Amino acid sequence: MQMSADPAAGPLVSSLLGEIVAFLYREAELLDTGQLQTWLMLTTEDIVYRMPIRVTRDCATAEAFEREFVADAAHFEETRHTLATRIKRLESRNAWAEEPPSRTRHFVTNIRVEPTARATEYAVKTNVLVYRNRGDSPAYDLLSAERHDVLRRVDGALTLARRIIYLDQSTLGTLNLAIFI
Amino acid sequence: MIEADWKLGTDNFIGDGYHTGVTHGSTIKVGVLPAPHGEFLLGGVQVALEHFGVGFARENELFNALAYPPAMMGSLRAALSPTQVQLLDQGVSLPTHASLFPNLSFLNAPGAFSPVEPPAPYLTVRTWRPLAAGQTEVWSWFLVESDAPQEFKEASYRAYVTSFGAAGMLEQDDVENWSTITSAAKGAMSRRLPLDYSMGRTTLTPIPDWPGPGQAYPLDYTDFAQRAFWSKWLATLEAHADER
Repeated sequence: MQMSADPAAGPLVSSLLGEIVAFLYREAELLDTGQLQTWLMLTTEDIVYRMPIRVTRDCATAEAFEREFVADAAHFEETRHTLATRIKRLESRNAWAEEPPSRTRHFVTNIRVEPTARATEYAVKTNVLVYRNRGDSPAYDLLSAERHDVLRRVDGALTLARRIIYLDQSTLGTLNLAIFI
Repeated sequence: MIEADWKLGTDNFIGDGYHTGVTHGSTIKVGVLPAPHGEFLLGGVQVALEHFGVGFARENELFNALAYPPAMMGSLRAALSPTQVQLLDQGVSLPTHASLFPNLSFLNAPGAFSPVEPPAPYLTVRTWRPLAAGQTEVWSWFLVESDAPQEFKEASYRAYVTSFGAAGMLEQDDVENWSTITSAAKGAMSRRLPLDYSMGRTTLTPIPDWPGPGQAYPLDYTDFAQRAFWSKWLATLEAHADER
């Protein structure tokens, strides 16, 4: 690893990474503790939240990996409005799919941060493992995915401006997507 | 993947108009299903054939023309027979829900996805693919007319993703109910009690001058199509009973 020429750059990078990690952990905690309205407040008005549909292709190349994700069809194709609607529904007491609610645990690892063309935005890749259990059943679902996020600094604080979720399965291994990844 | 038999999918899409208000109450509350209440199929038409059942809404702003752009209604009318166009003009909607025996289903319904854009109709076709007893994989397609304006295609797609598919707010609750039906049906009481599928059996008579095939009934809150499906299923099993 090459040392930065600017002695001030080291601690700055390290503190930015720490801030991003703290944001991601906080966000996961909100999702896992049902604080969905607070989670929504961490997202921008123009958020893009997508989970493209994945299909199986032959040949393990980078191009084949990209082609596994369908460009124009997604499980989630969300705007701020539809995210808010989903949360409102979950709080309606009539959303049977989450009545009682799932118990989830988001494990967020392998956090990779890159600058973007905009000084206020960071491209953040994470690996996530989401555990999901519900009711009295001991059975659980595990969803593994890579998330490609864009975090934007607004009024000094980080917010989620974009999240693309690349699931590690083509047939969805959970009953529905009534939870957020 | 759902924890229920494929038959519940066919049953739900062929009839079951009366489940909407209860099963999908939350989506009416938050406006995803853009209806004032869940009873919008009550006054519709249900058609039952041996292999097929379909429901139409009637005199219903939600479903009449389903907010298709006028240009699309033009090409749609051109593709329909004069009799079908006549039905549209009489206030019968496009087909709303249908199943073809054994496991192919259709739904054409409106969905809201935006605070500024109007709800858009979406069309989904799906198969209920049985993997084992009590386990079904759903293959769900979203279809949109190839001659539709790009904005309509986008709106219709978003209405579909919001309402149906794995993240669909309506589909989630359907599947939840089918899973719990499946688990409750194993109970001692469920095994003793016959399920009531008699709705409309003695109170409704077919519409005499319905121009299409099959028997048409002047209400969509009835079990004719479901009874036809289960009868066909039973007859198919019995016809092949000696092959086991």
